[in-house]
Amino acid sequence: MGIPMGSDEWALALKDEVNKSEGYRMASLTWEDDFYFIVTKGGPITEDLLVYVDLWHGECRDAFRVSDPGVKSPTFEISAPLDIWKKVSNRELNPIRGIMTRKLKVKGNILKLIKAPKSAIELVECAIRLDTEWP
Amino acid sequence: MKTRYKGYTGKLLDVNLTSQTTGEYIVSDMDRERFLGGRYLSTKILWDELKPGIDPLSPENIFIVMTAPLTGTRAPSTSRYDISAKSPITGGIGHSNSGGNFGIHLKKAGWDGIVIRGSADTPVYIEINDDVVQIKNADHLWGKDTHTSQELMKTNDFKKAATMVIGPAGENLVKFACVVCQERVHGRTGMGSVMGSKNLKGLVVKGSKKIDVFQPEKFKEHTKKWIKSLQGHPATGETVPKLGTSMFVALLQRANALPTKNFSRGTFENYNQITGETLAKDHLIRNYGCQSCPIQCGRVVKLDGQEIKGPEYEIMCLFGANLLINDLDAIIRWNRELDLLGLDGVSCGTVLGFAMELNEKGIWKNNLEFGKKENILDILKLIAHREGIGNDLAEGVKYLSEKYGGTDFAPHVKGLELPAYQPQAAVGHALGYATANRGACHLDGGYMIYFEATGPVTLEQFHHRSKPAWVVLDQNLLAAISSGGSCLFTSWTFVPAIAFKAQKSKIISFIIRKILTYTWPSITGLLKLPLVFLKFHIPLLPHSKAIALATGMDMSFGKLIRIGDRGYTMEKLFNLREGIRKKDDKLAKRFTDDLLVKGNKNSRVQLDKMLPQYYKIRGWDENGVPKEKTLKKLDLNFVDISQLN
Ligand code: SF4
Repeated sequence: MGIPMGSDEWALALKDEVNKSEGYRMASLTWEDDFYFIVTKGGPITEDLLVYVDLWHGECRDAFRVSDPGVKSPTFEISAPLDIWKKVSNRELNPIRGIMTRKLKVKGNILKLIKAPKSAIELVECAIRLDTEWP
Repeated sequence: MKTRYKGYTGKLLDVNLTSQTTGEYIVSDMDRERFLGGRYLSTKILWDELKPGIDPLSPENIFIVMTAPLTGTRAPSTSRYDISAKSPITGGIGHSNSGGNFGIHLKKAGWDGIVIRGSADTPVYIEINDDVVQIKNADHLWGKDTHTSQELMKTNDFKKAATMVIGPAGENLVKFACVVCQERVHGRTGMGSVMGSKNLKGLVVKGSKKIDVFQPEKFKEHTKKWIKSLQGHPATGETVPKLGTSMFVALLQRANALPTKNFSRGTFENYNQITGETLAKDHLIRNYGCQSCPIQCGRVVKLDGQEIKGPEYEIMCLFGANLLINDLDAIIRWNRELDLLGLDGVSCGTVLGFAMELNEKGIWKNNLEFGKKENILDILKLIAHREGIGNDLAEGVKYLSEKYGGTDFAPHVKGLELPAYQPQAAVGHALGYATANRGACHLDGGYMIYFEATGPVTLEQFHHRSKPAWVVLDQNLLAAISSGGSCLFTSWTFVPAIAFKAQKSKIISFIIRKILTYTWPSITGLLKLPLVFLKFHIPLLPHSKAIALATGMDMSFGKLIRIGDRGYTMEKLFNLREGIRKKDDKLAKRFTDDLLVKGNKNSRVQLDKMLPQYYKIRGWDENGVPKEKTLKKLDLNFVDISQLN
């Protein structure tokens, strides 16, 4: 049994994985922003599923599931339906390409994300390494 | 009654992409009188609507499409219209003018302009059919080039409609992404990336209404004469139709003003392989141009058996001499690709030249080399898709110089890359670059090169003291012409045909040059003359009379020039509010310190001498901030200047 995607446990596992990753650290030494990653309502997802992730200088300082979006006001919100997130985690969709093609919707300064492609890929690689159970 | 003036529809469309709603934006007649139309009226709207300091690529930015009173009338060369927003390149005022048919159709649909706010969740385009406005899904257009997207937008009833779109570069927020309308391009200041940030792929418009003018018969008569004068003029009737803007390659080479090897010199040894004459001889099929224009400065050329749009001067120089490339076929191909991808060729050519010099000097190893053409096509695609080194190049010269180095030879002003005129070879033109509100721009800068190097009669190229007054006059003049809706090329008739005869005599040319150079105080005097002394129209500038006859406004030569001055100052105020200051009115050291001509100490741009004089003539203080009495004179005293200091 894997860890249910988007659960608190999953968020914590992601945090550990990011903090173990030398690749992520090296690619993100100057990064200082936090995110909501959002799986939008649809199919098996009955209401928007939000995970808060705080990334700081190559480290993940915090990661947890959020039920009320007003709890935090992160610099970025990246949202997409489940099938798109699955494509990202299967490496079928490069996260930056996903942003450029607007399959991944961004609230916040898109350019800043586009200019950090290595960091985005390393972050996705950390998520891929988790034993995720998809809904 | 939306407006008491003819020539306008009196209505502006207001579209909110976030809420997917549409409405009307109200403009007062007072603002029409103050700014006429185009980019200046847009600047006033941006001033009123934008909060200072917003991110230009955020939903808070506003994107404006704006026509002018002459747009779509019978007046010659008036298909021009503007797009404006806060620029993602400079952080100041952004705008770009083009001659595609969108402005005419928009007006015929009953709209003088469109104010677009917010940002759509997914890619959309706006479809306008007279009063019916719809925001439509553009998933099928996203990722497509500018030609294909325009074709796809012309569905069923819209086969003959006008379109404007962004290409992949705009979608991917390349800083110097352009907007394309038919094959005409809104190149400068990154308006394509503003559209991309709003998930707005394009607009399509179809109009069935008539554009009324105030005195139809007199207007018809006046425009008839005007067209005749354009056709009979040596520049607009002969040289430009024959050679297009590419005629400048040879002219600028002769004037030591053809930017070569990243603007490090003004002549290119192989220039004759990339001239307008060579283009005409080897490739030209016919000339073409914007709707309603008797000049027809565009080129249709043949390449690989296909008829395609030919390159303008800027591309021929910046992808030719500036990169040390003399292959005209390759330049034509790149020109086509730039348009399809939606990249501004001026910024792009200058970015590549700068990157090549960084590579040559070992500052940034990037595999771009002067004279090497094999990888250019791929690089253009990398830039448009922000892949590999394209992601850095997509940010422009200023960013590259800050990240890697080379600020001393970085060709930009306020972040906007230099166009294809060597600054030291025409120091007034260079002053225009430094002071232009949208950053380094030959048109915003006053296009002094015509009076310094390429025109039939010129001022002394390296004479500094005479230039500020001329620059202010030219900036105001071009601003005025643009605000009415005319193509700036119509200003060529400002230099009478007789001057072209005079240039054949060396002695007469010499005398005229001296007169023009040393009578600059009279230009300053003219700029200061109260309006009551300028209440007339002059045949050399038929625009003011055309505007009067089209709109019914109280218009004169003096009033029109005043509108140019006001519009220009309004843009300056916008920039000041965004924190753009005197320190930004500058050029790279290469242009202010290096001599273009060995031994000629005046062949560098002495901005320190010219700027104070320029500010003074404009009625600005020593820091380049308009004085209160200047604002009063220009009816801009709704601005609280103390808040900008
Ligand atoms: S001169 Fe050229 S750019 Fe100007 S309106 Fe005519 S064709 Fe268009």
